[in-house]
Amino acid sequence: MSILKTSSNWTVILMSEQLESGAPTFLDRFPQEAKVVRAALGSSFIALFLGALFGIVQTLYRTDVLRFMDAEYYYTVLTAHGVLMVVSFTIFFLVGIYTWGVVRSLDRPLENIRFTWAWYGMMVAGTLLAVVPILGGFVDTSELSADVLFTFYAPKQAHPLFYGGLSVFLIGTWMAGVDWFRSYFAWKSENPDERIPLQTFMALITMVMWYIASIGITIAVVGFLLPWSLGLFNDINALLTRTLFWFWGHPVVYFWLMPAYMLWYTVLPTISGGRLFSDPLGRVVFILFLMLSTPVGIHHQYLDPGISEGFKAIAMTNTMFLLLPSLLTAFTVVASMEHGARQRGGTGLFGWLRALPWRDPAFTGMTLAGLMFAAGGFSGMVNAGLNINYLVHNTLWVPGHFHLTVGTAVALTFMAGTYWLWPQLTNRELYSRPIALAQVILWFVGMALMSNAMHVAGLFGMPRRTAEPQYEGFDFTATFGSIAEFDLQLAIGGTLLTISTILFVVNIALTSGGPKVSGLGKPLSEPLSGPEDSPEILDNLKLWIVIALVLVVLAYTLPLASIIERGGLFGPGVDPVPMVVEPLVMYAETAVGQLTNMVGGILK
Amino acid sequence: MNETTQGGILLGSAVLFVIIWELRSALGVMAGIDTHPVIYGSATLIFVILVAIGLNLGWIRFGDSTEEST
Amino acid sequence: MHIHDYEKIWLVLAMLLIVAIITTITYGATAAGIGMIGDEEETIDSNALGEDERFAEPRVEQVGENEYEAYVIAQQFIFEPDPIEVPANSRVTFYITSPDVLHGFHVEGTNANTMVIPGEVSKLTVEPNEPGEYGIVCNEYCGSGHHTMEGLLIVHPEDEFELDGDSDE
Repeated sequence: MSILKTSSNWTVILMSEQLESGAPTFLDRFPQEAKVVRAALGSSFIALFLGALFGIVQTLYRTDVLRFMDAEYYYTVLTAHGVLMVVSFTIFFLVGIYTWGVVRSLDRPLENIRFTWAWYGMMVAGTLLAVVPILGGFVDTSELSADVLFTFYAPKQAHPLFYGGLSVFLIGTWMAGVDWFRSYFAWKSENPDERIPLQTFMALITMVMWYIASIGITIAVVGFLLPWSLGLFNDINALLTRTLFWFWGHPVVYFWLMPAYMLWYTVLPTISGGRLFSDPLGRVVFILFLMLSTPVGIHHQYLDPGISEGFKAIAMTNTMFLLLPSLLTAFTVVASMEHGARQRGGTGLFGWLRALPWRDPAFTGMTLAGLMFAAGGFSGMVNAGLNINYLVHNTLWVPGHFHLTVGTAVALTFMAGTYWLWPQLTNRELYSRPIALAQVILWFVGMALMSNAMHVAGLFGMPRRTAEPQYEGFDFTATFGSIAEFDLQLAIGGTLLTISTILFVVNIALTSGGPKVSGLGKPLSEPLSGPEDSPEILDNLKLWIVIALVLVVLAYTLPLASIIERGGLFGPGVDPVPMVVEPLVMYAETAVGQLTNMVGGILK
Repeated sequence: MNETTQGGILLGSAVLFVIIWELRSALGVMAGIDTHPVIYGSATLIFVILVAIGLNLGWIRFGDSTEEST
Repeated sequence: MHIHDYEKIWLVLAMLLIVAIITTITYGATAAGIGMIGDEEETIDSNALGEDERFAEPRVEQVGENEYEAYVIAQQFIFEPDPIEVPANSRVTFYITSPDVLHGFHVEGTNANTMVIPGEVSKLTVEPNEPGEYGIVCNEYCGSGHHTMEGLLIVHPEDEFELDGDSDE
């Protein structure tokens, strides 16, 4: 195989580069499972697309580039954007990619495909139930609304369907975990002496983390928010439900991240042309996430009154150790890429970089995502710095940070992974490799611009989650450049991201119109240091679960007990504040009704 | 086998642009140096384009020197 | 388990970095004289702020030679009192609460930043040095008028400051 040096002919390059392995695809071997995976991934892309549309509306609105609606609807848009992106898009993708990974690595079909469709259906139903009241926020006369944002803090109250929908969605994800555990146990009974295949290991560990994390949100929603929104009781302890939210709210970000890590560990080395540097270290990293993701939630609450400094300091220390699995991953991923590059003929201290398959959008997308994640990780460390946080809390810096992490490390990896996986799920070639490559580069540039502007404006004090951050009594002080300039940069970045999203979705959609071909299977390479090199204790799920639970108990029992003891389970007299747009409409209707009666009386 | 390809140049240009543009924020926030956005942006763009052209025409080489032209 | 030498070095460096960060943050949060928001204040009935001596009348009060306390209410969509007036080169402790929903209280251009949670009282001590007018932004989403919620902190030159005992409008 030779790489032709050419100035223009993409097709020629493709034909010589394409590793037509002739292997059967996932679709060939597991048609039923492929269908579920396609459904899950397809749902995630729909959510991504809709979320992106809301996103660009926000971007242009808050920067005062284009304001075509009343300011209050900004918060409806923001709720939709948040929920669609970080609940629907990310989690539908996770259940799809993990189903693929588990089935593929265990090399066996799912135990009961009807059960699988059932949990997928739950997730869809839950999403729709939650989205209805969110969108109801656009309709003035509707009682349905949920202008509470993704974090839905009490005493702001959404329509019960919102909480109900999220609950149903959550149950669907739990069932997905059960599905994969069933596959694992069935496989294990037939393979008692084998190590858990890496992709399955990663999926199972992720789900254990998710079950533990779900404890917090379940108590918050089922125990408090849902019955409260149904009117079963009026009082609520705002700090308590907020703390329970963040019990889940931090591990959820690892729920988003771990599937991306799975792709970096198990797919990226192969598409780099090589092999994973170390399987055991991959296991170690996931175990670290299992143990450290949950006992840190209070780092989102550094500025909360009612939680002692001591508990905040503990959360800070635990959080800093979360750098470790990511730094280890950086090493392993780069080492694997270097190995791949040298297999492809790369030489030199840095020259091997050029030997990597940069024209492969899957490779480039994941690499750019990883690069951006490094920046996002460090801005996250700033957030985690107990005292530094005071400068950035609730400013635009925070969205700047998470658009690098979930918005790029996760989202861009998911898109890049799709370019690699989708042909194997459909037996159709990707519609356009050049457009895919352009798409990932556009995402990187757009995000760099947008996120940079957000970080800087946040340092200048600009708040997040605000429709019109232009105030009357004062101006923000820009120590360099100007606020207007960063607003413009934000808008440009956001626009590029929207275009990139459209390119992605259209490329995948058009792929379905292509002819079916065979031989698109892409087997994954074996790690250089395989599971046989890793201590068996790493596969001892029970041990890690126990340790994780102990850490969570240590981190949360005292703070929660303290909150309840100080303010009571239902709070020191806090009323719900329903987030209905234009309650004035109700007053107006009453007034109009009375006026009509009066006029009618006069005319008689 | 590893001449600098056009896709690679495009990608590298994008990354280079981002890095240099972000340096502006570092200069501003950490060193207090204010730079005019349009001037800085144009200069960055021109620089990146020149590097891209240079790589494309082989004036600049990245990595080892054992290249063969086909 | 075989760990490559470079990986061992990387692991050690990573741990050193983490410990260094924890150390500097711990120093910054304790010894450097910055007080964190904590749980020193008791909970409060958010429906009965009028019965609390501090919040029945939001105001600034002098409690020591150069010490002041500011009792602030954050509610949809204003801060009371507005403006908050204090003298330069003093210590001002803010006590902030809300009768309705979550709010934020951020003095722009500074790290005087806190959450305001109904049922809880945020206690935040600052030492305003530079006279001037500082915007106060509510940076926690609190409803449809959230973006209109702003206040003002006026730091008067010491010799020009007079605390008037009457409450504002």
